[in-house]
Parts: sequence; structure tokens; C-alpha cells
Amino acid sequence: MRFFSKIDTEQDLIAACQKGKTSAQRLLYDKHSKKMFGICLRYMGNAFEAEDVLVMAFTRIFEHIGSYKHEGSFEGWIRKIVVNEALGQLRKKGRVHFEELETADYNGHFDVQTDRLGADELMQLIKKLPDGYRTVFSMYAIEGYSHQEIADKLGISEGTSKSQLNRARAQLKEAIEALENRDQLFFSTSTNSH
Amino acid sequence: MTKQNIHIDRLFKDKLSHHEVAPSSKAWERIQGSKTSRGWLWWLLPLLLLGGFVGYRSMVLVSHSPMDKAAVLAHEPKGWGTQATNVIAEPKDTEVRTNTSKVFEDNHLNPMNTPKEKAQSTSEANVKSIQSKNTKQFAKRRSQSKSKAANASILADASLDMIGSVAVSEPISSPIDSAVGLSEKTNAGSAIRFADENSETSNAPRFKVSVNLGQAGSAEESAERLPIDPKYMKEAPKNPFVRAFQKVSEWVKNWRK
Repeated sequence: MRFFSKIDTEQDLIAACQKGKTSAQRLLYDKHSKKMFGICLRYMGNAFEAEDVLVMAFTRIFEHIGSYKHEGSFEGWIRKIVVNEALGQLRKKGRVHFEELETADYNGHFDVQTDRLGADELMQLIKKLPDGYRTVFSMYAIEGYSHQEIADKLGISEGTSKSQLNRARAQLKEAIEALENRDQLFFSTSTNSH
Repeated sequence: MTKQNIHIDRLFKDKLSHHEVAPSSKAWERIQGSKTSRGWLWWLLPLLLLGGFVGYRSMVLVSHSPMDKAAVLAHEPKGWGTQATNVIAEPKDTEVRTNTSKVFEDNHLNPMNTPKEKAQSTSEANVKSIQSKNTKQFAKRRSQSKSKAANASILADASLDMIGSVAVSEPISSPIDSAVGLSEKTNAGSAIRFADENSETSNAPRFKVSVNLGQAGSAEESAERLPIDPKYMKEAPKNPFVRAFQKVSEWVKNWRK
């Protein structure tokens, strides 16, 4: 007789969560919470609000996991819920203000030269962006949403989405170039002193 | 050291799309806490509904006027078990006629001419049909449990031509009560009298309607019974869940007493 169901695969884990088993839910949380918290942090900009979003998103995930139909990746399904929860919180708190910008000014190239910036440093750069820039940039550049989808989700026009994205790119490029120049200056100074 | 030339979108996507940051240990506790608190809501909702229903029923039962009580007693449905309605007519009133009908007849007028009269007549017809139905129903049950109810009231079919107001009055002893074994004690508190509006001053024939509550209950119990809300004076619902809910509400009501 089998007293404890064995959870070997993700399918088993999902099935156990669908039955409402707390131990399985804990396993699912441990598996995905760090990555999802990174997403929350990227959208909300601070750890307190990001944790609120994480809690609400996982509560929603456990409530609606029965409706998951095994179409597409499970992580993608979770990620979508987390992003929607973060967007909902931003809207609720009235933190996302979009102003119409001229896109023509920002149609330049946004290539950067870097080899030493890590994820933590890039995350710090993103946190410094205004909420609107950060939201559109995260959705377009990292999550892969189209401008049409962003416009629908945020209730803005496609033009506004494009202008916000280009403004965010420009601000990030300036910040990265400043970091690179500072590092270059630091390394050149240290080389000369030797 | 050579620097790579990379698009800014690509740089952030590569570095941050799988970036992991550990949340605080309280996050899981909060998730568990929110699940527990929502679980309570599912228990709270039916309790609130039940409490609201019982409270509403209590309010409705308390707020009835004497007119409503009489109407309710006359409209008691079948299947409610604890109460029964009997209609007894005095022997001398076998041919009951009211002032109004007599006046109409004398003047060769159709009493159904005015909307008011029509509505009144319809109401009377409803009362009569329900009384007749209840009487037959009671007779059926009465015959089935005759051996158990020694002090039960008798049944007398009465074709009543009722018009005018209905008022609660003191029990009126009549020859038929003693003839059928219905004592004043068992009848106390449950007698009502149907009479014409001007019955005290006119010569219109009068009749008495006695409503006997219960088959074998004491007079005190009969007097304490409250009427049933007229909106529930219908056939017993066919839905078993609704019937069960009504049974529970009845039980709660009795328990409160």
C-alpha cells in the first residue's frame, strides 16, 4: 500500500497541487519563488512591494492551478500570473503615469559595449528608472510582449508604449556608459599607479 | 580585454530573464495565512445566510396584525404538520346571506360590477377553496390518526359565504361544540369570528367560524402558536433541499422558544 505519493516530475507536482496538498505547494513555491521574486522586484522597484505581489500571485496560483491545462510551459503560466499581478498593483497604486513622447527623437541605435556588468548591477539600473519606463521596458525587452499587447494591458496607445521604451533605453544606455567610463577610469588609474 | 557590442534589450534579457532573488522567509507564511483566512470565509457565508433567514422569519412572524393572523390560520397549508384548521358553522346559519348580497339581490344588481367587488369576491373564493382543501386534508389525516388523538376536534364542512371583516374574538360556545365534543377549553384562544362589517347593528345573519389549532394540544399551546407568514402559505415545495431548509428553520424556531 502506498501511503505517500511520490513527486518525481513537474506533472506529479502540479497534480498534487491541484489536489490541494500543502507539501506539494511548498515544493512548487521553493522551485519558482526566487525567479518570480526577481520579476516582482523588477516591476515594483522595491522589496516590500515586490513581496506583496509575490504573496498575492502565489495565492492566486494555488487557487487557480486547477484551471491549468498543460498547454505551454508551466513556468510561463506562473510568470504570466506574476506579471499580471504586478501590473494590477501598479495600476491600483496609481504609480504608472504615461506621458506621450515623441518617438522620432529616440530612433537611434541602442548598442552598448560592456563585458563586466552583472545581473545585480543591471537590476539596480532598472530600479532607478521611472515606473512607466521600467514597466514598458521590462514587458517588451525581457518578457517579450509586443507593443500591441503592452498597449492593451496598460490601457495606452502603441505610440506611447514605443516612446516609453525608447526613453527607457536611452536612459539605461547613458547609465551603462557612465558605469563603463567609471570602471575604465578606475582600471586605467590603477594601471598607471602600478 | 575586448568589449562586446550588444543591443541593450539583449543585454538585459540575457542577464535578468532568469535572475533569481530570494524572498524573505515570511512570504510563505503569508501565503499560508491568506489561504487559511479565505477558508474561513467559506464557512462564514452559509452561517450568515442562515442567521439572516432566521432573523427575517422572526421579524415577519412578530409583525403580523390580528387580520393577518386570521388570514394565516385560514390559509394553513397541508404538510406543515403541527397545525390544523377546522371550520364549524352554527346550525342556524345553514343558509347564510349577507347584507350586501341581499341588497344586490333586492335591487337586481350584479354584485360583480365594480372592480372592488370583483376583487373581494375573488379573495373570498380563494379563502373558501383553501379552507375546503385544508378541511379535506385534515379529514384525511384525522382519519389516519384517530386512535391517537382522543381529544381531537371534529370536522364539519361548511359552505361559508363570507364577506366583511375578520376579527379575533373570545371563544363562543355553541350547541355544536358540545354536540361534537369540542370543549371551550380546547377551543380557547383559537376561535375567530367572521361577520359582516355592520353585524353589530344590522339584522344580517351571522355565522361563527371556529379554528381549532392542533389535534391534541393544550389550550395554552394553541394560544402561544404564532401564525405562519402568508407568503409561505403555499404548497410544500418539491425541491428536497428547500424542504430540508424549511425543516431546519422550523427546528431553529422551536429551539429558540
